[in-house]
Amino acid sequence: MPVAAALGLRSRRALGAVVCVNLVTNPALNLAAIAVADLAGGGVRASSWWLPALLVAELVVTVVEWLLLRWALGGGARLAATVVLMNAASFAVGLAIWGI
Amino acid sequence: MTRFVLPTVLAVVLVTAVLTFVPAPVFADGVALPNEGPKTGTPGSTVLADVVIEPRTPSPSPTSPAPRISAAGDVQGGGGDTGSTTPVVLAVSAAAVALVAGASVFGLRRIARSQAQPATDAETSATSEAPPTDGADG
Repeated sequence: MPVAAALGLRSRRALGAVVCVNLVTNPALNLAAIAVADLAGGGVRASSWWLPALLVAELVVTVVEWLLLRWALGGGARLAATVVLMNAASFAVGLAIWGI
Repeated sequence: MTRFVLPTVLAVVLVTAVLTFVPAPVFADGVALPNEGPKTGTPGSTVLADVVIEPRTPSPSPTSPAPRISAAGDVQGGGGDTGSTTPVVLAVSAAAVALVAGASVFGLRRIARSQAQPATDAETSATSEAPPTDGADG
């Protein structure tokens, strides 16, 4: 959300849309990651496929968030760039927190 | 904005519930909690006089404590987090996530409608001004 605000999504409506979009994608992504890690067993974070899988999942999330925000707010290339930057920041923070 | 309060509060409560009750073996080290308490010697363990040496079993979590040697009947550790999430917990979590997503989509739909409404008014009124933007397009 700070990234969204910094990139121009400052109205309450726009920030509310960003919050809602993140509430759609983030819990689902985390639950999916937990379920996959659980099915794969221990040490999955050390697997060679874990980071590429996270990248693919983040790309899917980015596209979904862009579609949802475009539906709610309208917008074009700048909105797409904003969504990409938001998710890049989110992904970097996630990697730092997870220690990957 | 008050119409977004209820879905938002609901979403926050449900997300908190998910994060609270779903074991997270993939979270950062040190977050996972051991789910086994004290236990006695198990088949395969070696009993030497008053000492029980528990064989170390493969543990998925690096935070799992190593087995300790102690007096017989007071063997602890060696287990730790198994990293497994029960299907019931996953199902409940999935339901909570679905509810959160549903509430959020509901909120997004309201935002989209409120966004579209001024545009419709502008089309029907020759004197109305252009609808305000949310900054999505600058």
